Amino acid sequence: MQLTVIDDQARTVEAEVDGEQILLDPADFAIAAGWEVRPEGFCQGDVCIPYSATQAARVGDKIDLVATMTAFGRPVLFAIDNQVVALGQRSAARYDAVVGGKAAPFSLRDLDGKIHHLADHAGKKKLLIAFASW
Amino acid sequence: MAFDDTVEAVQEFAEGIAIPVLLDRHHVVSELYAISNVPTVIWIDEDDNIVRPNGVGFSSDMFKEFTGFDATKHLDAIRDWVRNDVVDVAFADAIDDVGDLSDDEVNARLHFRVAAYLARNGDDAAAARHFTMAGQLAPNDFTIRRAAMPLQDVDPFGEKFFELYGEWAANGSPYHGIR
Repeated sequence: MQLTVIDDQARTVEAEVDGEQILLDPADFAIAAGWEVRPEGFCQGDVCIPYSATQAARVGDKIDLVATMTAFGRPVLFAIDNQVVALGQRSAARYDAVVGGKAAPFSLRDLDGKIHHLADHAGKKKLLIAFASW
Repeated sequence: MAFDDTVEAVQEFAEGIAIPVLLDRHHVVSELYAISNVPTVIWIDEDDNIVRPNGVGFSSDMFKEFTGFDATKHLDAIRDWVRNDVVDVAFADAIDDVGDLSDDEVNARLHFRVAAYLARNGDDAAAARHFTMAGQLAPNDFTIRRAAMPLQDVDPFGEKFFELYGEWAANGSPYHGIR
């Protein structure tokens, strides 16, 4: 089935759903989850997580999205009736921020579409202001 | 950083503002920093430590009569931090007031994300189901319940808001932060 995975943006991929499992081709997994499937593990740039660290991540030549994201410490909601999956942020990053006082890295676009990273402002004092039109 | 769904909704607030104005339509930062209402302000130092945690911070006294918050005090505290490195409320002293999100509050954000996506794509009935679930999981969270109003063509300054406000006040005005 066509499945939309919502992380920092919504991306639609082809998935095979089998019970609790959402199985994706490695290429679709990379699109949906942002991790490339390489011989050494799941990779983002130079950072790789070996397959041994993730339980039941690989099923044949497919990747189980739910098992992998869960192993990465990210909450997952699968709204099967709507063919939508929502991914949460890493629980540990939130805990480290809220309880540990270590600012969690994030990236967001400004109103012109330009991406900004918290890390762009390293070495400076930062005021994070949450507001809304509502 | 605005918890809004469109650039258009934020544009008027961004005019003349020299600092980056960001759109967090998926409420990623509301999840990462356990933010449950706006305006919430967080101070982050040069080394990415949160030195003053989630706190109510108005930039003007426009809503003072309704909220009871004095913007001047907040703005003076920011100046004192920037100029003199003085923090009026230390992170360690306020951890209990902030509090991590519960599992339900995290799940509420996931349902909100699904609902907002469905609403954007015109599936209002399915969106309504997920907005309702989100609201049940986090009944006192304005980034869930009030943010859902514009996405459901409900006036966020109208009757529904005052209902929500009354319910929240009756629940003891819970908020992830200091005030």
